[in-house]
Amino acid sequence: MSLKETQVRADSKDLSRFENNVRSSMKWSSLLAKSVLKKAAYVVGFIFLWWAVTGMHLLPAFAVPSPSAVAKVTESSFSSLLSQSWVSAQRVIISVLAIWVIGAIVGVLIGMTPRMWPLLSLGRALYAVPIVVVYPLLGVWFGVGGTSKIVFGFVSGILPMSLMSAAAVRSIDENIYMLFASLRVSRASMFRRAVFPAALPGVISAMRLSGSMGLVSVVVGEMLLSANGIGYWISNAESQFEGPTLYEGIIMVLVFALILNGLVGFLERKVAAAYG
Amino acid sequence: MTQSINKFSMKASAEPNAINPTSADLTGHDGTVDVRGLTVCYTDSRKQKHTVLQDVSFNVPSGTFATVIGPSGSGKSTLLKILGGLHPAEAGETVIGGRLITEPNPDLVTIVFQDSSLLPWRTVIRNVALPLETAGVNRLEREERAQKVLELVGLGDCIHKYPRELSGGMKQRVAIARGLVVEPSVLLMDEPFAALDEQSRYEMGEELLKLWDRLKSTVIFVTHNLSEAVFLADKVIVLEGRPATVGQTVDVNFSRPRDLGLMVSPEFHVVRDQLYTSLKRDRIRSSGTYSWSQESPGPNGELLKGDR
Repeated sequence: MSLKETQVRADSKDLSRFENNVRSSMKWSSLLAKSVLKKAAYVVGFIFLWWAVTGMHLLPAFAVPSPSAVAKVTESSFSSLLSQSWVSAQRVIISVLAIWVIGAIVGVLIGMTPRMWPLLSLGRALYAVPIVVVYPLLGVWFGVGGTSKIVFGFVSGILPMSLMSAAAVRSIDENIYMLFASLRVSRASMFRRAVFPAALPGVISAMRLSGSMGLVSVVVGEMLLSANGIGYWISNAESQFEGPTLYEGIIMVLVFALILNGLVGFLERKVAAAYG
Repeated sequence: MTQSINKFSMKASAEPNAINPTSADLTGHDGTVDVRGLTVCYTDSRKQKHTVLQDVSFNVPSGTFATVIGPSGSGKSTLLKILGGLHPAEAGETVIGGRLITEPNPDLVTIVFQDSSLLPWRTVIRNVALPLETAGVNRLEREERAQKVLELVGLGDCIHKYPRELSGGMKQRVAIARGLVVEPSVLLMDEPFAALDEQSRYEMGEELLKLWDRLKSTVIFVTHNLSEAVFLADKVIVLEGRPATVGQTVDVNFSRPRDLGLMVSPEFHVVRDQLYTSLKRDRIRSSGTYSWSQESPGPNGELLKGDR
């Protein structure tokens, strides 16, 4: 158990140390306000730095365009940026949800069934294969449209999600099983009262990793072979030497990652609170 | 097996195997434990069969505090698992309160494990209420009963804390409360204080005796600490040899209530040394097959390391 606790704690380190320190001593609402303020300060600081570096003209304007150039391009292209982002967002949502739901179910079932554990070493071996090598194949099977991106994202994320969920179930303390056996409970009750809550922190760690893998793969898929989506936006801007447009796309992907991270972080905090 | 009569064992004079009305009146249930010819094997990861317990027989009258001692790997924990219905026996039978044990009987027999096995996501009171919850007792009643038991073990103030906020000793109290909440006839304890420091261990033992004095259920307490075994017990069951069998049972007749002062009395040491000698004899007899440490016991009787 303590292992899992440290895992959760290690993950929540992403939230920054400062937030961790104040968490115990402050209420939720003021905590949220503080954390938003702090994040805003970081963003402002970053933009200032960016502006300062480009203002000195140390770097070519294509490689590092100034914030004002990016803002100007964004102003004129914002609606098309949003529509392309929405195309990608839909693909990411379907892909990541499928990873989380199917991966958790498969992983937990395998974890609960010792006879299926040999599958895990097979999974680990497959996990070492760079999935991107099958992407051209997915293009052939599912076409150049959205489906191949969704499938690609799913394929990249499903293995870590299932493997880590199974590991979370397997690492449940033997004594907890013994306790429930001595209470003579049904398998369903054991799942609800022991397996699910005990595995939850590990499953959420799995969600964090596999979710970002799904996101990366959808975007990469769009960059490699597509006619729309934020990945296409980026690769297109690159081939046309449109530095500011390229940055627009990159910032949008960052926003995606932040949203995903925020969502998993929220779940993590909820679970941590419920676990004392 | 001799039956000693002292002030305490008056209520525990049940005949083996028979439901004694006197003890039933006192405890509410019959907690007689009768083990006959028990042989237990387990199969290791290389599919080899090992006999852990060979022809183990003993009888613990209802309401008795019995301790089981023996070297590491002598099958003490396995014996408890059999009594709890968690492990099948190769031969022989276990009868508790007139019931043949073939599976767990959570209303009759409860187990307190070596590590407290508390669920970290549940508060103290919800941990203690777990056996009632799985038995289908309604929320109001189970919280009331859990609260009562927690007050009994001195944790009335901590009911809404989480296990990680408690010390090792407090966690074990919670585990004991969880074992007692269903008011079992027999409480099985598997080295419950092994992880505690010396001082806390004996203090917890003293408190356990007070608690037991009020509840009068049968306790079977596994330990490898001789002093603890003698201090707590009416009856010490010594497991010897490999595969292990009951080497002897020793009746301990010190008057109750007992306090820690007993442990420095000469009479206490006579009993403890007698047990130590017999365990040592066994160790010499079977040396070569035993893997336990050759160190002599410390002044506290810490003879052996824990099972795990």
